[in-house]
Amino acid sequence: MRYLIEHETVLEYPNAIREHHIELRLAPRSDQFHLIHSCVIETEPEAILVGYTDYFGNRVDYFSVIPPHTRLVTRMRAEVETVRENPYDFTPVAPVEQMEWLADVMRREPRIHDFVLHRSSVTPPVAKLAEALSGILPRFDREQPVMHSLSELMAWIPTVMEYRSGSTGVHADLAATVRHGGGVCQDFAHLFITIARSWGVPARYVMGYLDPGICAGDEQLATHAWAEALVPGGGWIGFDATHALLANDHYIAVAVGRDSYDAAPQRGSFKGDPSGELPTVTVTVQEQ
Amino acid sequence: MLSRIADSMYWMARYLERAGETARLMEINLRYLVEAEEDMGEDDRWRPILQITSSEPLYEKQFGDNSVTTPRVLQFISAGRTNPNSIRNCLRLFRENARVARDRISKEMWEAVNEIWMSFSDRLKGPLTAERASSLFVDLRNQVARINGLTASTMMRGEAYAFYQLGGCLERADMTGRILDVKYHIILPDLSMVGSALDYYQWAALLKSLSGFEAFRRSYHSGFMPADVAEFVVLNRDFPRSIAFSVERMGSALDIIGLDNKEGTRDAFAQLARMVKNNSQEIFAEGLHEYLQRLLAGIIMTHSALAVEFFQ
Amino acid sequence: MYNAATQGGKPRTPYHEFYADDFTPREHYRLLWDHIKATGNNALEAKAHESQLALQAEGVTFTVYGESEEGIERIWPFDLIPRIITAAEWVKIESGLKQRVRALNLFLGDLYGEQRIIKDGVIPPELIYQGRDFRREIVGIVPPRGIYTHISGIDIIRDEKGEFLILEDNLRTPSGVSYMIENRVIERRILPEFFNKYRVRRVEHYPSLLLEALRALSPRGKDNAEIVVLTPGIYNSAYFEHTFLAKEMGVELAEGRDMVTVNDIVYLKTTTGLQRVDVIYRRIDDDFLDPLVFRSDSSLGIAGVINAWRAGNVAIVNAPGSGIADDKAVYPYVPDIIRYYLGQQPILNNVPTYQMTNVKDREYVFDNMERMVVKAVSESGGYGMLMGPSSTPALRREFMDLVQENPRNYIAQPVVYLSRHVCYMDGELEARHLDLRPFVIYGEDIEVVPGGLTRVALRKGSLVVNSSQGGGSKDTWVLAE
Repeated sequence: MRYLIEHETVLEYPNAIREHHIELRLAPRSDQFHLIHSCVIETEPEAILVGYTDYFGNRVDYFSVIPPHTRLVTRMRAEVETVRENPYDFTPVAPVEQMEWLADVMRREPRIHDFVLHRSSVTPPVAKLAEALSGILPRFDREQPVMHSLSELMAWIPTVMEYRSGSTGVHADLAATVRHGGGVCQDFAHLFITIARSWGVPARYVMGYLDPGICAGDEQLATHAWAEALVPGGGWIGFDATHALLANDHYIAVAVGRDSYDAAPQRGSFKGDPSGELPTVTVTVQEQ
Repeated sequence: MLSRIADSMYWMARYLERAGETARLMEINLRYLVEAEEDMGEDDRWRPILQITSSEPLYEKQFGDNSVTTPRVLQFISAGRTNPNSIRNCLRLFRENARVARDRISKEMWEAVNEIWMSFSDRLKGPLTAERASSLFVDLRNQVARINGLTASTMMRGEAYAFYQLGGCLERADMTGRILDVKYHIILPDLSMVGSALDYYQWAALLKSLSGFEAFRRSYHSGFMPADVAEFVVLNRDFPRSIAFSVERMGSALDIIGLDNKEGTRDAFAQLARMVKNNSQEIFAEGLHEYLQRLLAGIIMTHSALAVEFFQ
Repeated sequence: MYNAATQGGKPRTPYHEFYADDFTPREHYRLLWDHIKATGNNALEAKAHESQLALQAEGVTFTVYGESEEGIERIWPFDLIPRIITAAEWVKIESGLKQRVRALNLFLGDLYGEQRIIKDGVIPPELIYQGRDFRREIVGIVPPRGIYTHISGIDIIRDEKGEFLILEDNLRTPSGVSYMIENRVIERRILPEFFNKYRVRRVEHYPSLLLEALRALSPRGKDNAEIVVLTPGIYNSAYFEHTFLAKEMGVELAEGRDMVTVNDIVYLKTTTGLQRVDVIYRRIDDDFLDPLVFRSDSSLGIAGVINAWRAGNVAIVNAPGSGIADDKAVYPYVPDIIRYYLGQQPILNNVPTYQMTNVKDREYVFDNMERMVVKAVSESGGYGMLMGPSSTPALRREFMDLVQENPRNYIAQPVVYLSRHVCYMDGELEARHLDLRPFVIYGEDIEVVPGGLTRVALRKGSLVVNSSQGGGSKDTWVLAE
């Protein structure tokens, strides 16, 4: 699938701020599933952008605006071709060998431990979730293929959480969110990740863009969040718990991390009065 | 040197000067005018002080009604809650800034900073009768003088000292300008009176507020001619509290600091320096009040340019 | 890993550094002892008083912050009787420390690079991936010459047999050098004759050693190096040391807000405009160093400094990320780390340590709590610590619960009775426990300053030497022959 993506963020400050440093994770990820035909990032005021690759393999672009200003705009425009038609297309490992397969991968690539061990307020120890849900969490069956348990997990999530647009802040406490029974795509992704991790399956957070055809009517069009789990024999497979779908070529990944904080599209630091900061985000994804 | 430290040295001096000058003003107003005029109304006596310190609106805010009384003004100027320029607050900020710049000041100075705060912070907040206030202000003035002496004799000369001097002189010039403007206006409500010898006590009070009474008498023998007083206070380069003297010392400080690439400050200061080169006829031709307003604006402009070019 | 079976139960007497078993002074203290006896109590009293006045005049203080925002500024507590280390004793300490610092730097380079030590199964991955101070943000950035810990303060104690053991590594912002130097300055003033009788190796040149090491890191070359000591400000308890070092090295002392990053270069905001900075000797923790990358609520750091560091435009000392190597949970593995990277046996051993994540060790520790020191991995300064011998049953139960809840956060060590020395306390010579913090500078090569900060537990019987909890100090003499 070929997409044209535009992502604009406008930040406005009633009182001028200065010494503003910004890090962006906006550019679609370049890998075997994503061919980037073009990607341009612009800023207002104009600034020099410097790039590097972060610990999670995400492309980061950063810039700064030092003199006083009341408005900051970042604009990304990219043309991407996605090629993962069928996420099920892989040779699974026999169930009895699955955990050994995972252990072997983690031995060779120790960084993957992060995706099993990391705990935070949005990916808490699973005991906290059990408390919030009065006990019933899906079980991990070692006799079954991992895909099976993960698919069951993905099917279970909508039974305890419904989509409520604008219901939570971006980095709210997951246990609280679950207790209220409603959340947005980040919360769905975090819930999937938290439980997969408790089973010893490496799971990571993905921030990216979604073909608008997949969104239900009441969803805000912004960046989307889903989860990826390391499936023995299949590698990283995407699970979109919000829509109960596996990520295929209708999904354009941008950044991955242990949770939403690692993959935030924009992060900044400045001197001055932060009150009244007004962000306006516009995302358009068009099939070409 | 670090902009932040330069900023602290500058403000340290300004706050100390402000505290000391305000205390002197209050003391003269309390003591001298009591002796002078028994039936002078409290409003007439104190409102000029509120005008000089630009604190009339804040006074209204704290007390609500339009009544200006001695106990209220004493409390308000000494340690008023809503008065950021209260003497107590000035001492507090003097100390805060000294703390930031502690590495640049001598040990004796730092000890004196702490002493003055410890001696006065509670006394200023406490209930103040006119009598107690008077001696409090005299004490304070003496402590300020002591600190000035200590600074002059123990602080290393250089950029830090220059910023200190700059701040102190700028504040002094500003304060002197305001005192002259307000008091002169009161003493001479009518332009037709310019050129006549008038109210002895008011003139004496004005000069005493500036510690210039005896010096004036020695220089000018024909009583208190308004033009002479104005000339003395604004232009006399030998009188240490004249505006011209302060501006000249600001110039020396700026020479040490260096004005390369600081066009804003250079221009603003040049304008200010020109203004104190006028003679008294020119000043009165323009109108003393108009001239002083222009001068005070020039001081503010110089401060703004400094803040932008050195401290940010 | 310490073998629980070899742990005996009999009480032991701490090593006395001053007295030999027959209560006569050890060989290297004889001269000093004769002098103390000859001096007499009155003169000693006078000298103690003189040292207090001198410290006060020099402004050698430290500040303890409690409830009051003001904090209490205390004069540095100094004991006038020096602690002497013979040349032979020092040889072992020096080579042991050099070995340890070299190994720890290789360890850091590996952790932030290939992670071979994890792949080879020498340390468990959880140790690093759950370590609070493993900074993923700096993975892949190689600091100049691969050096992370330019300045280390390694705490050493002496066990009952007189053997020097490593108690703790401090690799982030180790403090105490200013006090080490001031102790020497004061001691010289009150016991001047001794500096000729004993050939005491010098320590006062530490600031110039440090300055050379810092200048060597300058991206613009050492002749042009603009060096800054980055301090969190006047409310920090080690502020005295920050101003001391800046002054002694002749470099600028600045806070985070005095600097700004523009196009990946760090500048100082001065009255003559922006001045480029080459080396930042930072005395603030990683967490607060860069609000863009680490804690965004920090006002103490410089936004963009890590990007500037990555671009090679500024050197940061000690390098960001060093903290994982002095994590108390990593400490028990340091002997393995030395073996892994250097192929050598450790010259200086650790204090025997139990991992609370090891079930058998944990059970053993719970059975013997009254003889254990239990330490929280994440705390420093003597806080979050249980001293078994002086604890109540209730406190011990509380700690057992804490350990069960989060075993990775705790280690335990049998109480090692720190060695003792004589101190001049209120006119009497009394025994007090002490430790030693030598300082190691890794510049062109690794150098250990001969001496260090000897910290004394001033409360009788106490083993807690930290100054924030009532500790004092002595001048430390390393003899030249």
